[in-house]
Amino acid sequence: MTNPHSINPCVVIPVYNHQHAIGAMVNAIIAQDLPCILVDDGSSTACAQVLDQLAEKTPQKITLLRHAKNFGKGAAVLTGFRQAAELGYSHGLQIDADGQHCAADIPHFLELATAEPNAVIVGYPQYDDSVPKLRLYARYLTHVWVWINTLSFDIKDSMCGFRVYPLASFIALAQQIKLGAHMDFDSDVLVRLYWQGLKIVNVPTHVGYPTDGVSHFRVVKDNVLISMMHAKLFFGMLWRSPQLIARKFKGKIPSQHWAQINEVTFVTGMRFLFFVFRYCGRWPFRIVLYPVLTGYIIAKSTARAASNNYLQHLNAVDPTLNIKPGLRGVMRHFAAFAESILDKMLLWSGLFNFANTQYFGQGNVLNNLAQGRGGLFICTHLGNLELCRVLVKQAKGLKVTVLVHTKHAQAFNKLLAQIDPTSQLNLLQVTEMSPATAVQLMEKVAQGEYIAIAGDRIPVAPNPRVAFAPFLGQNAPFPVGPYVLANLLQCPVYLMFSLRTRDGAELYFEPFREVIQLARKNRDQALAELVREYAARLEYHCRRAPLQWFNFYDFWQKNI
Amino acid sequence: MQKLEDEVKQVIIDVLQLEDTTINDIDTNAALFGDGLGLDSIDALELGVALQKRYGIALSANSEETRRHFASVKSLAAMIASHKAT
Repeated sequence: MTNPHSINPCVVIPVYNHQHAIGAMVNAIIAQDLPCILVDDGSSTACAQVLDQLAEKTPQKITLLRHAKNFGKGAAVLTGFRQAAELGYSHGLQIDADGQHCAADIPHFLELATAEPNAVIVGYPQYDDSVPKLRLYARYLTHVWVWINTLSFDIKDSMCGFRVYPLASFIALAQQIKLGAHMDFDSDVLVRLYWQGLKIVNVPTHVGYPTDGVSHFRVVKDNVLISMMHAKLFFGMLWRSPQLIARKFKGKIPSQHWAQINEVTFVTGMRFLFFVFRYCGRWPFRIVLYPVLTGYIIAKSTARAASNNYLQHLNAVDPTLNIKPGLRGVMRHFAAFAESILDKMLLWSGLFNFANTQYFGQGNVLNNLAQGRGGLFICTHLGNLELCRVLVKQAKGLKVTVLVHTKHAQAFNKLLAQIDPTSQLNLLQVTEMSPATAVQLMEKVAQGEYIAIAGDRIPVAPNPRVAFAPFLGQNAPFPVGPYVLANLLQCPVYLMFSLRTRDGAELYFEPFREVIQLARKNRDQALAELVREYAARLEYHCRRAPLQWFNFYDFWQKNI
Repeated sequence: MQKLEDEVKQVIIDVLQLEDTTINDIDTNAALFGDGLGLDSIDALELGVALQKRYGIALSANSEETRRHFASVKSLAAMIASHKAT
């Protein structure tokens, strides 16, 4: 520690009945001329003898410590690190005895530790095909918990027992708190060191599961311990969350944070939540959801501002709704959004309860359908658009093509496709309406099919055509595309709203125009009038389901 | 070619309801959009649909090529003629 630019490392290996694998590991370490502490955690006589022989063979490099009985992996590592610190080493390199870790990566780990002596260097396992899938899923659960408990994605894999600790930080932590003694140890230590402000450096390293290797993971006992550890850490996170959040803004740890989460990562998180729901119901989902949400809100400042802006408009127009802008309101708003995402996944997986779905105005649509007349649905991002898609998929004879702007929804659609491959069947991805697409849609409608298009999203085009209409007390731009399309299709037009109720859903089909004719001369006025009417109906439903507004961008922007 | 160009002009007049315009008022070489005839993106869509229906030409999404074809009556007629030839 005298020279700040070099470290003085020592390898620590917890051993419990690994007599077959330990020899090779120790030899690999000796070959690298590193000191090594073996901690015999109450192994059998056979294993103890192997360890004794190893220590006698290279006494100048190997220190053998022994627990009289088995205390657990965590306890063994702790014993080893205490000894290493007493011997004056600055860093402890922990590696498993069973040979699943790649000793050849040790120099790389130590290089990284030398470059950042105050960081924890953690192996990020790259598995080969020998690893059972179930094992990976089980690990994933822990990953998500760790992400929640650190409010960050800084720790990629908290369970990998191949890592380098700065011993001073480690020992200080061990003196403050009783660390997990068993398989819960690795995650526990890492999350707590992260809380203390240590930087985590993730290093990809090859990990195998040799079939003849001995794993001491006790399925029930260790899983219970691990769950309890996560729960304990969760509450620890809750009261530390202000510091954890503040730290992001101070930039004390300059690495990847929530702010850099892309949509795909968000979807990965949602996939896990879905898994939780499937097996445990809605409540654990909510318990998991809120911390995830907190992090998301912190990260997405644009979405956060958009939500607050919406709530301000809403509150100004109708204070009796009692939804105030501010952090609490934004939290409620995002919670509704997350629940809607869950609903969407339930819908496509067939788990959504349709018993309490109420329909309004579907008679008109069904009549037209019976006569073989197609039509156009203009929808909204208020409520649950997915509900429409699933319901129409179930309705006999009703064929609907939904036009989507892929740029917004690619990752989410990918997730839906994994849950139900047929979910993509009626999606048509359109960024700009071309004559060819329009003709294709006209043919569909002529055959009695329906087209659905959102009336509240401005297309991702360089100069989108919009018309302004009052919405919640201020002019907002709306796309004119749906009405231009209606003019081409020459078919009945409906507004479609789908709202989530407490225990079900409501679906509205509102006849809008028998046919839309746009005369070129007064086209702009005609479009403005159509948009005004749409906006008025949207506002009406919006005030009935105020938290189900899912347009998280500046809706009232003035410059298009 | 003259005949085809006149046909295209008539389609433009019909589709876009240019009531006071005759085919003689439209310059074969003038730009359809912007300064020339003053058409916009909605007009382009309607025109494209009409041409596709009449001549069977498929105008795909947002390609530079489509924009080039829509530059003038002359270019539109040329495209239709080349489509007919194949």
